[in-house]
Amino acid sequence: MSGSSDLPPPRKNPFSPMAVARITDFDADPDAVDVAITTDATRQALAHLTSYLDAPPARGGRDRTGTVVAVLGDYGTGKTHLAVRLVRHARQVLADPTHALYLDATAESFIELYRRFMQKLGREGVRAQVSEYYADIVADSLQSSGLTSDMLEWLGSRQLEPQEVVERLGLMESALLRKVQDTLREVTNNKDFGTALTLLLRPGFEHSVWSWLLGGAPDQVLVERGIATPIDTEVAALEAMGVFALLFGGRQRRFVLAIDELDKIFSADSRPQARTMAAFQTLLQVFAKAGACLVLCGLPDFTSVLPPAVRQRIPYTVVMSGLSQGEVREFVKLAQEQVFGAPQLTPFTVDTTRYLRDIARGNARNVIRLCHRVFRMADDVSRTPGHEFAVTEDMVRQAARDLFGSLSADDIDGVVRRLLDANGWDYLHRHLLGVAAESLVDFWVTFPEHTGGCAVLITRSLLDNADLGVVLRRVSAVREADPDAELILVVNGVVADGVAIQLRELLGREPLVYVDRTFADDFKALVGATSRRLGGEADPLTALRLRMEQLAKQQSSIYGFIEHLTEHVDGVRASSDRQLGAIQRQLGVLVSGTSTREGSTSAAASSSTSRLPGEVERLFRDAVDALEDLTQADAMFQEAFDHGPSDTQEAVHRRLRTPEFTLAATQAMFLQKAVQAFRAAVSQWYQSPGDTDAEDRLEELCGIYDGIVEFLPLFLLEPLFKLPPWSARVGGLVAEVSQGSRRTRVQAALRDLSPRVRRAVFRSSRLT
Amino acid sequence: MVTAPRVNPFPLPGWESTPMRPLRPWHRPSHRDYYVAVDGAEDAFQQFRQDMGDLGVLLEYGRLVLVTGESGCGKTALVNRCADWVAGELARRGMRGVVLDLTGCLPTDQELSIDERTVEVCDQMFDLLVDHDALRPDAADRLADDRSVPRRVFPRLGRALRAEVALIVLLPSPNELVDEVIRYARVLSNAKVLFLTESAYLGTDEVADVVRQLETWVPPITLHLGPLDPGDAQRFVEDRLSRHAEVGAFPRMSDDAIELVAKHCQSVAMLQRFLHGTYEHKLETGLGYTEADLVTVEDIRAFLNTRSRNGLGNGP
Repeated sequence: MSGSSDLPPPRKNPFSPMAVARITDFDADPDAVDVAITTDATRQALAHLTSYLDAPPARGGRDRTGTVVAVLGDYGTGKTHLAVRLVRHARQVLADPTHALYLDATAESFIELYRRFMQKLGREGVRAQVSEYYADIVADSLQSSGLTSDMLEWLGSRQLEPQEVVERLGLMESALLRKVQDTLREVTNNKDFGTALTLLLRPGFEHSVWSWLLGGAPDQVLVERGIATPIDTEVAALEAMGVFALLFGGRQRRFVLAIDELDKIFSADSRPQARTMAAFQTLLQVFAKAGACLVLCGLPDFTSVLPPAVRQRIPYTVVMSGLSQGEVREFVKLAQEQVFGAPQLTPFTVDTTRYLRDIARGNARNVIRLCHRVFRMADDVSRTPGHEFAVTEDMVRQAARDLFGSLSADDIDGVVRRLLDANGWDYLHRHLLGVAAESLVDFWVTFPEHTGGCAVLITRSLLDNADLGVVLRRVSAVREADPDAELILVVNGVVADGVAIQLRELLGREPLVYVDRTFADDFKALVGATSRRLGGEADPLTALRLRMEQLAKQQSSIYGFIEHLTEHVDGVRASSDRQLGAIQRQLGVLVSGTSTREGSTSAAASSSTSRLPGEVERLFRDAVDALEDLTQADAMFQEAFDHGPSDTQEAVHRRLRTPEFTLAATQAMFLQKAVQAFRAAVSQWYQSPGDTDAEDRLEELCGIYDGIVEFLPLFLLEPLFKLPPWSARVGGLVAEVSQGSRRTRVQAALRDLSPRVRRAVFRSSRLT
Repeated sequence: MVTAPRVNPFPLPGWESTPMRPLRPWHRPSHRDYYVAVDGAEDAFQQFRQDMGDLGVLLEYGRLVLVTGESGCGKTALVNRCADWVAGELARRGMRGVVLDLTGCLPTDQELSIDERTVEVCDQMFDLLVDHDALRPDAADRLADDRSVPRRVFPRLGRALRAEVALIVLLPSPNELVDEVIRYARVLSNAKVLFLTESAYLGTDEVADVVRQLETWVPPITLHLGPLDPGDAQRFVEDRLSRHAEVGAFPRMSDDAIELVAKHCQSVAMLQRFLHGTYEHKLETGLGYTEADLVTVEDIRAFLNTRSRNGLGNGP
């Protein structure tokens, strides 16, 4: 076991495995925390922000004008990174760092977004802001006397709180508070908020007011003061956000709010109601009036959902484009400089960075993930005698296949077949169009109203000329066999830039790259378009008949699916009945055995039962549960011993005889153990004193976890996704359909776990 | 030769460490002489006496008095003066006026609803009633079980009191809660029970609202105190400086200094704060504190810009 002890230790990987922006250290140097290269988009956005921050106060007592900047880009192009960088920059420039906030839309509603916004502002932040207004009003009342110059200075620098000054000088508190209330009502243009915020200055109201501000029903003490409506609708939430923009941005102060992932709220699928949209438009107006700066980040199409009136209120748009070759090289050097102290390209070369950039097509997240993986590969290889420490193009290709080949060949086949069935299209599977072997198409889709058809070719990642050559031969063979055939090329993986250009020339469009969330729509649209191109205009009656036939097929496909579903549900019921019986028996044993085993609780068990804050706990639980549901090893063995029918035993044997299953299940279990150990470490971290090093220690734990799971990549679990889970082993079509959801669930729960844990820890500590 | 002790002429006798505490004649009869006609308080007091008349309405139906005005205008001192006067009038009729001070009975760290506030008042009032031996013995036992149920205690209170007793209840401030004032005047009132309450948050409109809502009931007595009028500051200063001349030595005030406080002080509390603080500050610095010295504008300025809390004493 110690045979490898004479090898040098692995090099520390300077590239983040997650490639997601860190959004906790807002007060750090804006450029020092993440590796930050300044792209053109970054420059544009920073320029907009700087001109806002540097603008002189408006003259004639008028409020300064605010601004709205939209940052648009696809997944992984660095929107979050940029938003965080903008907020950090603003916090450095502004005297009060609470006047620049980052917010990510985690849910599909503004209510949730508003709640998070309030939590970020914090009870103390809001109270302090209201207190500023009070201080201004107290100062105004003293100004005229000229008697209290020192007192005024202490009030201005907040060495004295306004309440203290009022008490010291015996000022008319009631009259001053009334003035605060009038001012806040005027500033916020909202009577309820004017009342509630002023109450924060009086003892005994803080809890009621804060709970109402977080969306709770107003307490009786607020109802008695005229506040009867909770902030629990989309419109109310947007209005409330505007109120706080006015509150924080007023008095010639500046306020920057970056909202990330707005596409979760504004998407074509979940287009907000007209009233919500109108309220959002008002919010943009309010931000402008408040002299505040709003940064809206989202996928490129999120603004297209907005009506023109709303779009007009967004004066600046920054589009995140892919990284250039030079930027990738700069990134590699900067990242290595942070870890090794000197900027170096090695083990990369100019050529390998160019190739890597092409394969990632400049997508920043993919560039970083590829860098991370090829660095590890190069390091592993270099520790074999006779091999140098260098990244090769082969490694980049291999890494791309490992990381981006999102589905197995069978899976993608199944996905396409189900889409064709669901839309009622006729097709032949694995159809030989001509005589040449290469004219074998994965699907041959025909349309009763037209002659000819559409060939669907499925291919893995297209990374180099060899890959391209194979595809070109297949395309030629198809065209030779049927010159009028339409062609859809589906890529299960990635397409290098150079290959994409050549294919565009050949096919007249880019190949369709499989992306889970959009594939169904894109594929359907493409097939629909080819059908129209093939047929021209059919007479209305024929068109109607054909459409009816297509609908009938779609319906029968749905019936078939429902039948399968019914069988599956029956099977599940039988299986659950058995399992319920087993659970009841086990509970009985547990209850009777508790008293005898109480004394032997292990340290590990006790540490794992110590509770973590809700959100943190949920992340760990989701990860462990997702892996458990994937292997279902416990359930499988328990059922085997639970006097199950003989076919149960056989099913267990069958699984264990499959090497792919056992290998992948071992991976899953290792991963599960790693997550559990990570959780225990975080739990212990919570129990340690919260000193200034605490954040660094948490960072270190996250680093250790990342280091471990670097050797347990998720794509090795692929065989488990294909196999129906143990409890649904008789599920047939349903189990097959749910392959995608199994994969999605595991990936959602395990991907970027450590940064998500770090964020959740940070968030929960802000709340307490 | 005996030197007169150096004293600050502004605190009340015996209350040197709490200079901002309002006058309380029903508790300390010596305070009766300390009232100075400022902030319109004298007019308000005369109006109160006139409205109370021969106490007939109070003894037959019960009454509510609401004093309004900004913070520091002397509302509490006026309420205490009214309570003292009623107690004296009752005594002249052979009755015993029992003053129950419930102004501080509510928690300060958590605001309560009107229901909860009245429960708190009722509950604590019961203890004070027992302490003052104000209830008939049989009634005390009957009410004990309901001590936390205002709607059962208050309406039976008049009959439960000893024949010779009438109550003067100083309520906690309702602040902006018009409904609470209405509730005491309408639902919780009873013969021989006088409610006295004050608010810095009820303006003219709200008071008019209270009066309107009680049009068909026993009308409340509403008194309003304004800010300092011209001449008020001068009158107050002269009163305090002459009153303590025999107790010890202290400097007089320059005309400029009096003019300055008259110009800048809006209320009697602010006046008391400025004057007491300035004298205390000068006394502590140790120099120029004889009868031959003068308190000047500079002395006031020095006090106002001091960082320490010396001389501020405790709040009201």
